[in-house]
Amino acid sequence: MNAAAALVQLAGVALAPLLPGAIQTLKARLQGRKGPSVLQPYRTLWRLWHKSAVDPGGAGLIYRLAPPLVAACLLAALVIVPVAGRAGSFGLGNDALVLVGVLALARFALAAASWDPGNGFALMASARELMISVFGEALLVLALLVAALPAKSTDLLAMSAAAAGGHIWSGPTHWCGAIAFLLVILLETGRQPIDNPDTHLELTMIHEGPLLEYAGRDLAFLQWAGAARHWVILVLAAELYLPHWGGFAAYLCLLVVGVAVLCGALALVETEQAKMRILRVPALLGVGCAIALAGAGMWIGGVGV
Amino acid sequence: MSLLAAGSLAGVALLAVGGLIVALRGGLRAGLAVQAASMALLGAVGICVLVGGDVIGASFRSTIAPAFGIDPLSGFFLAVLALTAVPTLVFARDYLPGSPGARSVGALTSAFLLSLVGVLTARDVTSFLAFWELMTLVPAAAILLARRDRAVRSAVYSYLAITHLGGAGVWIALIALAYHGAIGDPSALVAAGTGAQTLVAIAALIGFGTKAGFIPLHSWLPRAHPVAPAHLSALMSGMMIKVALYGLIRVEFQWLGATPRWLGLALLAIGLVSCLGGVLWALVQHDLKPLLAYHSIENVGIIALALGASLLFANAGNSTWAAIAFAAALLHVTNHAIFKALLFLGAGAFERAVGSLDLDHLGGLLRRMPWTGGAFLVGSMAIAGLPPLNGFASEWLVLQSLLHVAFYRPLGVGLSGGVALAGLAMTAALALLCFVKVIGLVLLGSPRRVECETAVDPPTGMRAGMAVLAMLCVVLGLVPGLVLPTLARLAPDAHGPVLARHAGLVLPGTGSYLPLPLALALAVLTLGLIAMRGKRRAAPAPSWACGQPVVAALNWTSAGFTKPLRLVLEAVLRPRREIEVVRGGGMVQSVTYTAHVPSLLDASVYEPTVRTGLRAASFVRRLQSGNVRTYAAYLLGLVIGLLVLVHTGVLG
Amino acid sequence: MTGVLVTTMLGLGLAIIVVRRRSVGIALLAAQSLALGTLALNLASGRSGDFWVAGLLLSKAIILPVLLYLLVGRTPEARPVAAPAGPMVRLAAAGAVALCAVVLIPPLGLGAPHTEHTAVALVLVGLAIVIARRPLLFQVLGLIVAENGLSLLAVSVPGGLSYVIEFGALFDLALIVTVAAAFVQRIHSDLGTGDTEMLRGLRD
Repeated sequence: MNAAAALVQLAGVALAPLLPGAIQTLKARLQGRKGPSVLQPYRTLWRLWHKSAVDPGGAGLIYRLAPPLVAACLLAALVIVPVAGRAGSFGLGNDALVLVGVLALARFALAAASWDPGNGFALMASARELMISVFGEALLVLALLVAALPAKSTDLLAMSAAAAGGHIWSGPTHWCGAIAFLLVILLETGRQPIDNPDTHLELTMIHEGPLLEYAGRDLAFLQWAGAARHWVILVLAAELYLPHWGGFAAYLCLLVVGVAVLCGALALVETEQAKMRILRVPALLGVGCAIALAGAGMWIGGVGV
Repeated sequence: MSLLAAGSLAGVALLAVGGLIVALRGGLRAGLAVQAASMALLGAVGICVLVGGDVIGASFRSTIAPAFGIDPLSGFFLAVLALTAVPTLVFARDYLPGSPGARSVGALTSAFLLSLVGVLTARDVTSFLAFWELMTLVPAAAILLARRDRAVRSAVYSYLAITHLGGAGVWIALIALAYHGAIGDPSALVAAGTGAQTLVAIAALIGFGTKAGFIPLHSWLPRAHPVAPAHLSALMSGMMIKVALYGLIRVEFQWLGATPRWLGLALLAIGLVSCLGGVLWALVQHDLKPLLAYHSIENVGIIALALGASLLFANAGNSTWAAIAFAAALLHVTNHAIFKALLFLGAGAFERAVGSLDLDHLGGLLRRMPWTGGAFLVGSMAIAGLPPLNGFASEWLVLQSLLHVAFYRPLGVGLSGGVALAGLAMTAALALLCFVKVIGLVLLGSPRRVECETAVDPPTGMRAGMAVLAMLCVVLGLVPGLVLPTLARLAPDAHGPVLARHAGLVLPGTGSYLPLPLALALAVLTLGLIAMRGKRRAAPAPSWACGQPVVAALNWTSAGFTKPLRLVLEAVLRPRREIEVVRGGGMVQSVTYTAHVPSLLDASVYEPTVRTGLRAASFVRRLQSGNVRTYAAYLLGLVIGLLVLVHTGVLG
Repeated sequence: MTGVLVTTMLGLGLAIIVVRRRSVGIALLAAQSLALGTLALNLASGRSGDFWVAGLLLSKAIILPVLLYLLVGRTPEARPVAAPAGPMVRLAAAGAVALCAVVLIPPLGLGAPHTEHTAVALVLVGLAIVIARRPLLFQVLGLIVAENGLSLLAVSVPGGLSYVIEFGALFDLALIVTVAAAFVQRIHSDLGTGDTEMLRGLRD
């Protein structure tokens, strides 16, 4: 079974761009437009692959090194997150906090690379993204804590095994954790109300900003990394918070359904919500932290265990 | 005398000899080399004692006669001292010649290292306190020998004043322990009762905490560390605060005889406040050295979090995780010593090359000083806690410890673990923000001063010192699991091996962190992707500034990058700004802008305390009439009063 | 003989508090030190060390007053220094201090009780001289009187104290007096007077 899980994880490399594509299509349909096809991100990647890159003035080693490094980090993250309760033994372990660290490395590489040209909107966006990530990291770690409580371990395999069956949903803890994790999904995928992925106004970009300075294959790497981020966080959410029964195949089907439902939810949220003021986002994330802490407190206090 | 004991004595003797050679004319470089060799010898002895597990020299005693010895914990700290000091001394061989007061500073460096070794190997109260005081005074002297201006004098004054005031706690704790005969014997303090235990615990926390840099007793650190010569800053930030933590570990963990829950929670609280406060005030600094000094406070906070978690585990009876958390603290001690020394040495090299460390006026140094810039980059990534370097390994361990604390009842303990976990995650993200800013402003972008354009790499010795420390960061990051079991054995209640030895960190209750495969995977994947990228046909273009020409005035500053965070945290940081617009002839002639983030604790805690203290002192000053007859009258009154008390039997 | 000498010493010490002129005070001190030397010679019990001590005390009785007298000659006072209180008040206060000492000191067991009490009283009287007299020279005189008291105690111990201690104390005293004399001369030349009240101006 581990071979099958390994195959599915590696398939994520190819399947990841489907997720943002699906969300865009759903969003368009909800808004009454026809919208792009689900395979549009693949066409974008193909187009970018055949264009030439750009060298902004002052670009050095860090600028050129960042996109491959970011893509490599997201590839490692793909391998760390198990699918359907199992993972291939790639030798990187399956720890939740290691995943947080690898994503932090990707964030660092891109932010440092935006300093290389030395000015412009990439820096403005990096400043905002790092500021939001201060509160986002706390939220992510607390949400993982709530998910780790039933399993008493941060091993993602154990955590998804502990989420088997429906019994953990009987107490309030997992509901709190789910709300917190929804906010984490919005944060990591860069969707409204926290960030607008469709914007091309430099002054409103957060995640998109550093991408402004890249073109060609570098930009293809970074777009793929954005899609891989969707995959990692949505599969993780479905793993930890989806009740599942049965063996690997059944779990896998439930996972697909769960991810699809989450994509639909994201499309709905993006349609209903407008983008928040950037300086209000930490307050929102703080509320998420408080909810997660309350959930953890209730578990420790023995409420509804 | 065993080989190890002979080796340690030889090392100490060589260290003293090295200091004397420095004092001779023309002996600076040779003397520093001798000091480096002696520190290497002492470090080797320390590692042998740590790994072997037996004690050389005397054991702890409550008597007053001086005694010295090395046990595994002292051996560990000696090894860390050596790992930090040897590259620093190699750096100093090329850094010191030419700076003011070089020979005196070199000789005082030897004295400083001797006092550090003395504190680590002291086995009785007298020698510990004597070397402790020496350890405080020698760097102050060295700083004043190198620079004499008013700001430096005021910084050294506040350093000595605050360290001595807080350090009274060390005296109280150690003398109370000696009084009860509890140095080295935890059961004696247990027999003395919880009152004595609480007194010792609180006094030690205040005393050692002041020297380590816990908030709110930290105010001396960002004043004193930046004004010292670069290699001395590295040693002070790298080792002096660690020796304070050594003292804290000895008293609170080994001699207290109990594992009170309130102490664990207090350490968690202090650690959390120090972490967040340290990194927040580091973010608003505009000069590199004070920024690095505030980060030392943050890392000491992380160590305190790990120690608090270890105490809470021991209190709850989970000795495996208590040992793991303790080992996490010790590993972070090592890692922080190494990367903080590296960063301070890099800052010293930059200052030598460029002339100033004002963050807004550096830039482009990675291309012009590749060795220094590369080492500084590795150090920054390590302190920001990025995998696969050593900072992430110890931070991962501390995060895991706090997460596992959060599994415990009662509710207070579990929730504190959860809050501390969130706080540490925030700290890591804030440190990332801060060091992205530092890397960007110092190493990347375009040079903003004339001196930056013509900067060159420093001489070989300085480069070698920094390269060795950078390599240590990488190696300790790739194989932390090799040292972790040895450190776990140092935990107070550890009986026998606690963890199996792997290259990575494989712990029960986690998904294991395997840095070596991770680093390999990242490297292979990155190189593969670069190969896939093929020959990169790139068109040169100006960076996008909405189409306007890119000029130097558009460069981002340190304040600009941290502005979103400053705006969000306005209530905590309370920044102040003044804008002055001068108009003339109906047009704006000039606009002046000053922004300032005051140190909150300085304004609300220190200044009122100092004012009250000075007022009380001027009141008491009335007693000092300057007249010798008044003093003699005081003496006579005292004698007669005491005689009356003896006569009436009040005094024995 | 011993009792008479001891009482004389105490009386001379009290007299130093009362006298006005510095030279008279020095003369009284010389007499006291002479009495101490004679006492030491009387009590010497045949060991060579005791004779050395007695000899040294006698020479102290001569050398120190001569030094101080020379100093007085070099530091003339233009006006008589006003005293803080009248001579009777000073005498009464000093007498009270001596009485307190005699009453309150527990028996030390070092020698004859009369000698013991007198010795301690002398120390406190020496302190009282320092407090009660304003001219600088009297501070030095007070110190020497106190030291005389300690020497009396040491000498009267049956069997004698180790003469190393004695020599050490005497050496210290010689050093202190020399330094003090130098300072007195300097202060006189700077301030024009040896009034310790005027010295307060040096503080700020």
